[in-house]
Amino acid sequence: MTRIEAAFSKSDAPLLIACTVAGDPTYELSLEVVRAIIAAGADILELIIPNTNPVADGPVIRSAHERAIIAGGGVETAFALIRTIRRESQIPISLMTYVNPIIVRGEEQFFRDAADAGADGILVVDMPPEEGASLLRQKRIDPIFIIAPSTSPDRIRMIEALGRGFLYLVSAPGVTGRRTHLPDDLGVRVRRVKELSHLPVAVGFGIGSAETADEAVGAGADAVVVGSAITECILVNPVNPAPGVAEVIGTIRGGMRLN
Amino acid sequence: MKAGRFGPYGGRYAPEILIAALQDLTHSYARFQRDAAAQDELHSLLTRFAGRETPLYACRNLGKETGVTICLKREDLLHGGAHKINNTLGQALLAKMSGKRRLIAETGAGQHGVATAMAGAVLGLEVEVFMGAVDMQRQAPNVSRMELLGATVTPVTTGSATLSDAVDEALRNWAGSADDTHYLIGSCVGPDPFPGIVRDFQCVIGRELYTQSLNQEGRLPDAAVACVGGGSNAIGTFFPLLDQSVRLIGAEAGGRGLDPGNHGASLSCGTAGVLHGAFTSVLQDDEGRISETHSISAGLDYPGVGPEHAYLRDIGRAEYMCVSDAEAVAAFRLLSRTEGIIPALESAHAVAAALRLAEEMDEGSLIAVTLSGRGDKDLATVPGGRV
Ligand SMILES: Cc1ncc(COP(=O)(O)O)c(C=O)c1O
Repeated sequence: MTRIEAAFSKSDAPLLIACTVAGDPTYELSLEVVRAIIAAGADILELIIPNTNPVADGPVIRSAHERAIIAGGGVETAFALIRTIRRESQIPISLMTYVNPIIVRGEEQFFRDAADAGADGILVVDMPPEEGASLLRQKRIDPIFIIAPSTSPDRIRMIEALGRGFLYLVSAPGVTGRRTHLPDDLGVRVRRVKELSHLPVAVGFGIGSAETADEAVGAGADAVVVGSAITECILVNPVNPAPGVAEVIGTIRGGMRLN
Repeated sequence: MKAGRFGPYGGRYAPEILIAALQDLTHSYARFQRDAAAQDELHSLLTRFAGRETPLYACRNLGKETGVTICLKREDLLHGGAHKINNTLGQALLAKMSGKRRLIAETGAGQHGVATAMAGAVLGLEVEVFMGAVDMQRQAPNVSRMELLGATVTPVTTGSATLSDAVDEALRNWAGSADDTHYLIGSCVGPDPFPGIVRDFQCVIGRELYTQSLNQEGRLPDAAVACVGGGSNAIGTFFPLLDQSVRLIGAEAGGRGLDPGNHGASLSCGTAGVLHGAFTSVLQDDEGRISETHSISAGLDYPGVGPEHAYLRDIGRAEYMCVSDAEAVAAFRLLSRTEGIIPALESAHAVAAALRLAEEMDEGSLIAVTLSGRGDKDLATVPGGRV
């Protein structure tokens, strides 16, 4: 059992997954952000490898990619960050990346290095299962897949049979970014996925307030992913982002307990 | 070969959010190909609206000193001033028949944006074009044309604010709008099925060239030359000639020099990677970060290339050479003076490549150059006066 699977099986309450771009705004400050995320009690850490063409990201996370790239961030710095955290914490770590860095490093090599560094799962934004044979062969690292609003029931069945750890359900069409409310049909969609799947369902995209966290849990989410709201803390206070990050995690956790 | 692959290249490296749209597009395109009425309508639009067929013109003066005949496939004479309309009419018709009401597109030189705006106007589809802020400046006349044609032009300021960033933004927009919107991609790039669709619509260039060359010159050319940005006018030229003994030569943007950041020569200088949904040859560093690019022509200023070109390069069926900014500008001026034809700066790369080839080919050889567009849009970049 990976750390991710263990986290879900240990807990009856929904989990909080906190996500940040590795190396945003610099390696050192990013390490502080991650430490703040862990200290504030997030259940799973999702680390994003900075990319030059983040086509699935809205303006906030996009700015994080740009800052991290300018600071020299990439695959090596993300792996270094994971190794450092692993010396301090057993928090489950899911790596999120676009596919190109994997292809360039060599697929098997990349997954081996990620597992060696201490990652437990990996979500490749633009590698659907059809292109992901190498990922599906991995034993030490959970392949995590996205379910979109447009993913058909047949496809959900195919994906859930191949994925491990959890399924990442995108709350609404579009790119990452905070929303005031989650769509009304979220509950129906979460229920449909759960009927078709044995995996826990994490809801992401658009959650950045107590209210939206409450809506996601109310819709039946087994976990709530918070991303842009954490990055906004770095935007607002690039010199000392950690306190803001802790506060966001506290707010989201509060919202999750309203149910 | 696996569906959607060209040898090892191509594929569908797209976010899950776009997979259903890409599957739908694959199916609706298969229906479109079988639909005789749709094919007739496209043919009618291409002839009566866009101005096909385009002439194959044997230059009277250009290259004469080498004893080699250079023919120009005059895509510059098409409505809108470039080959782009071959693809936009095809895809817009496909979109309309699949029930879409809106088109989005990226554009670099603005030619694809203009051609999309024209297709949208004539077929009654709303159009939004994403264009890098830098390109909006260097191709300002095309921005006005798009707006006059009823399109919304949305500036993109991320990254280097050029073509690659515009593709990123169009993909982001499509992720939230695919229900009623077709992404009308401008070159043979992107996730499957785009590279094949765009190639098919551009193949009209090579098919006409084949027949015209036989009829007018009594034989096929010894070499066919086209410029390569994403590679659509080149693949449209090459594909119908693949089984013939014709050298196929692509001209890439050599820019200011071949050190990183100064060119757009993805095939000559790139390494294997994924950009915009396809596995292809990409300008990038050793961790897969995409490089900045430069070309004097906005349409060739792109760090990737259509996957089919990477395959043709690997199997040795097509050759790719780099043409510098300076060579392209010289060819731009030369063709204007010697033949009375002002080529697009993109197309001027192909003309320059043909001139280089003519020097080394036997006397009496025949070279066909696809003149992908006209150069009115480039007058601000290359002032008209004497050198
Ligand atoms: C006139 C002209 N030629 C060539 C190109 C490059 O595109 P492609 O390589 O797809 O033909 C462009 C792109 O904007 C163009 O406007």
